Amino acid sequence: MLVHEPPETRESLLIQLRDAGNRESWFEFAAIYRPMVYRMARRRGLQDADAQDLAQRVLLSVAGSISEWKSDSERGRFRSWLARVARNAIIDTFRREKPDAAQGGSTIMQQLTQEPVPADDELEHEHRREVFRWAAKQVRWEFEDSTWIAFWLTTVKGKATSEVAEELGKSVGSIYTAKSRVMKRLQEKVQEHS
Amino acid sequence: MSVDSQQCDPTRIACFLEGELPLDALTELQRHLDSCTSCQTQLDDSTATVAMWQSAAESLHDESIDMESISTVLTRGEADELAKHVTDDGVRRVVELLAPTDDPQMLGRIGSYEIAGVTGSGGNGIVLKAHDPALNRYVAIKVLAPHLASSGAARQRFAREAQAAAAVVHENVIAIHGVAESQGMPYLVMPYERGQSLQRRIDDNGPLGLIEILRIGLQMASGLAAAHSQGPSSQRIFFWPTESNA
Repeated sequence: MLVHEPPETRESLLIQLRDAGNRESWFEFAAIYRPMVYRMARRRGLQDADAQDLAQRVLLSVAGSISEWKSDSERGRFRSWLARVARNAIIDTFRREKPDAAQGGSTIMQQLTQEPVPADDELEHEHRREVFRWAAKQVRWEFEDSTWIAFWLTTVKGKATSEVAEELGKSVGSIYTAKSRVMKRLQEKVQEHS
Repeated sequence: MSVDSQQCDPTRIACFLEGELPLDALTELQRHLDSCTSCQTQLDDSTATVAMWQSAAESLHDESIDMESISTVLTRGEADELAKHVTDDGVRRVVELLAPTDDPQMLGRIGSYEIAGVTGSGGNGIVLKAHDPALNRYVAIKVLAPHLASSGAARQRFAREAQAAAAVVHENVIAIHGVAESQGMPYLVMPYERGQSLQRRIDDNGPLGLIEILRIGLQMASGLAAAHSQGPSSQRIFFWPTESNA
């Protein structure tokens, strides 16, 4: 027989986030932290499904804490509060995954024991990278394909401007203005989040 | 090539970055940038710091150019519906479009329906749990995914799908209560069924047993046969495995 989880449990979070600004912050938070934790887990040797599961647990743990947040704080605080809770949730989740040596454990656990629980500088670095990726996704569709490609090939792939200009059949000057426009917008988006 | 385009002009670069350069001046600037290395450098430096350019390169290096790869990796096989729903951009956009409600227990309204939550999301639509105050019952509302709602073809397909399903009366084909549109979102109203999708069930419990496969297969075939004989043809089938005879 099927066991149904009550739909109410998963609705409650959205109910708690009725404030549009907070909801926006939560979605932004989840969009950045989930792939961030996923990548950190993959780098520690976890398989796709296990890394997803771990990222999921971090998000659920943070979501579970949302009721503790007091909404009478000033604007903008929800986001920094989320970041603080997330830091602890990530460290806890990775630590819990790490078994005592006496318990032995699965391959996953053994792989995790080889890497320490993430330190603050790793978290900070990963977060910054993920913010860039998130921002790039946000602004991608504001640009024509050719503008985006010019930025990507020169800035991200490190190709010479002249080479890209030839490849795309554009002038060198237009490649410079294209990558500058994208970079400016990307930077704005990144700073908007920080 | 005009004499103008050969001259370095820092204010022109500043204007460009502010987005205030007229089109003809932009063309001039681009022509100038073709060969003036000092203005090339100046444009790069005025756009962002060296550290910022490097951060962008380093952060995006492993991504695919259209930024799609990571989201594909992350949505595949997602086990838990909560985190999926609250991180799903389509769901977010639908929730933002809901009309305000006076009921503090509800997320918002679509037409006269009070939305209690999100119960599922798929490629082409999002399913909401809603309360119908007129008949005092819960219903499921399927909203066309926001990224498709602007496409005429997708809207037509959505309407056809609803008509096809509405034309079929069968215990294994979900009934359609109605079709309407709110805030530019086409939606259809169906009975609210508590249960999980076949995909979810297989994800959770592994492969089905032979009896289950046969039972569900039989229900699907009989629902399809009903759809085929009663309704216009549709590429998509609403199917609900019943549990009464499980």
